[in-house]
Amino acid sequence: MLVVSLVLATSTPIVWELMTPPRDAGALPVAEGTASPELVTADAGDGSAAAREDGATRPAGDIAAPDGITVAAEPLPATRSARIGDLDQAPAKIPERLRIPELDIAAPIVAVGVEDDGEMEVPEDVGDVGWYRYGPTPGEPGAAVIAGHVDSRQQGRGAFFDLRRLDVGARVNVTDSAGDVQRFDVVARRTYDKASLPADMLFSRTGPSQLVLITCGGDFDRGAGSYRDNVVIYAQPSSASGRR
Amino acid sequence: MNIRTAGRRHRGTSRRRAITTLSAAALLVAAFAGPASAQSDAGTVTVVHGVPDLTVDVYVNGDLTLEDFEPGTITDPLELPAGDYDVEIRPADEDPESDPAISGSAAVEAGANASLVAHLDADGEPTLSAFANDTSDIGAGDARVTVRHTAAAPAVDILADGSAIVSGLANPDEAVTEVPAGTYEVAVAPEGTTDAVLGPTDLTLEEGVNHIVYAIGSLDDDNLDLLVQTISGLHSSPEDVPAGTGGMADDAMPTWLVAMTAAAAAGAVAAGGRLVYARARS
Repeated sequence: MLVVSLVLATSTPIVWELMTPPRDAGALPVAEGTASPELVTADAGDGSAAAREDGATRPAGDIAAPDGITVAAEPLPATRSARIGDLDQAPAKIPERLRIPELDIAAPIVAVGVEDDGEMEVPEDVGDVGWYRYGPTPGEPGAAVIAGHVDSRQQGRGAFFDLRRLDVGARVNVTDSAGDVQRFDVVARRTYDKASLPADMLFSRTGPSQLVLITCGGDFDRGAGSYRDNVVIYAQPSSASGRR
Repeated sequence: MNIRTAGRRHRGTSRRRAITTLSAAALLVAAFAGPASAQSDAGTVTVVHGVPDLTVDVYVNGDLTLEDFEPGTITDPLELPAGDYDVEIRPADEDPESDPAISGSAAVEAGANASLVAHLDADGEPTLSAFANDTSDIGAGDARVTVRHTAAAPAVDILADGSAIVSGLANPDEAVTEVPAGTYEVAVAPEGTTDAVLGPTDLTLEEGVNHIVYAIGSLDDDNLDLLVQTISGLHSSPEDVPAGTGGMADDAMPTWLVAMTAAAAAGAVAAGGRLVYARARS
């Protein structure tokens, strides 16, 4: 009796702890706490800002300001049509399907935005995952964000129920509307208290291309009907990427 | 929209004669303190050409800075050290020593983001105006619209999907508003009416972007048009990602397991106590 009770009392929490995935794993591509710089930049249109820096267009010579300031030799600035009919609008390809073989996840991707209260919209159907349509598409510079439910009180388990168990090195595939597959490798997993979610880093629209998967996790607050934490998976493009 | 092609046939003739030399009006670009510029001692200036039918050369402090600058075009944003600049605009390929068609001076303030616009005033005379651009952060999911009346036309209303979002805008004023990102059918109508003199045309307002729309041209010459300058990177991040309401993934030990563990611990204490008691008695 004594032995059995002792074993039970001590081993249960230990076994439980061992069964629970660690909150964090892997190293972030960007140093934690330092969001990618998000400078305010004006549209360069045809990328001619880069051309300007390269000195591709011819210099106009020094500009001497009246009060003695000398402007460094600037190439002639690029110009472009601003007529409303000439605007280049609407992105060509959007992500349509997410696959994570290691977790047997194959979920349709829907484009989502922002709720009235400023929260990210997450698809109604817990079997779908939502791509933040205002940010980059997967594979573009910056962080492409895809969020999915861990579960819902009404619908049960969501597409990202097991996301908190996804290991570093796992493969994540995103198929876009043109049928092209972007392949990503998981580099890190983090669990953040919702109050200290590094949103500006997760939703960065500049910097290296990465895929960010977000769901809920941690302790469940039954009173509030929500989880205390967000589980975040960081993935980087695999070196081998191409057509399915 | 067939407005775009209207009025181009008399390029360089009647309009050129109509140009008068303006006295050097001081154009003060309001300081717009903010993170607009990486360099604190520089300002950002975008030059907009809204005078129909007149291809020009633009001289800044006497140097040719823009050559063959076409109506309806804008420059990339220029980073300029803070200071005063003299701007002279001449018809393309005209003698740099000749009297300019339009001239003025612009004060570029550190950290400012401004647009320098060549356009027609309400009476149809070419002029230069400087506007400070709003580069403050925009709420997640929203787009900013700045409308500038720089056309030879009376005051107008700006309609989006049939209802006025800006009313009574007169040359050379501007109006700024924020709306949910998306595609809108926009039109320009005389103040108080819904009879479009421009549009309707679809305009996609992108999230986190300030869309600066210029009404240009002349109502009398039937060559009104809309130009759009965009300033991106003003977005904010969503505040939260609510992705679970079920509680099935709670990794804290479930209550029954906690209770069982506690019971086992209590059992161990009881059994141990009884053992100690039995030992002591024997």
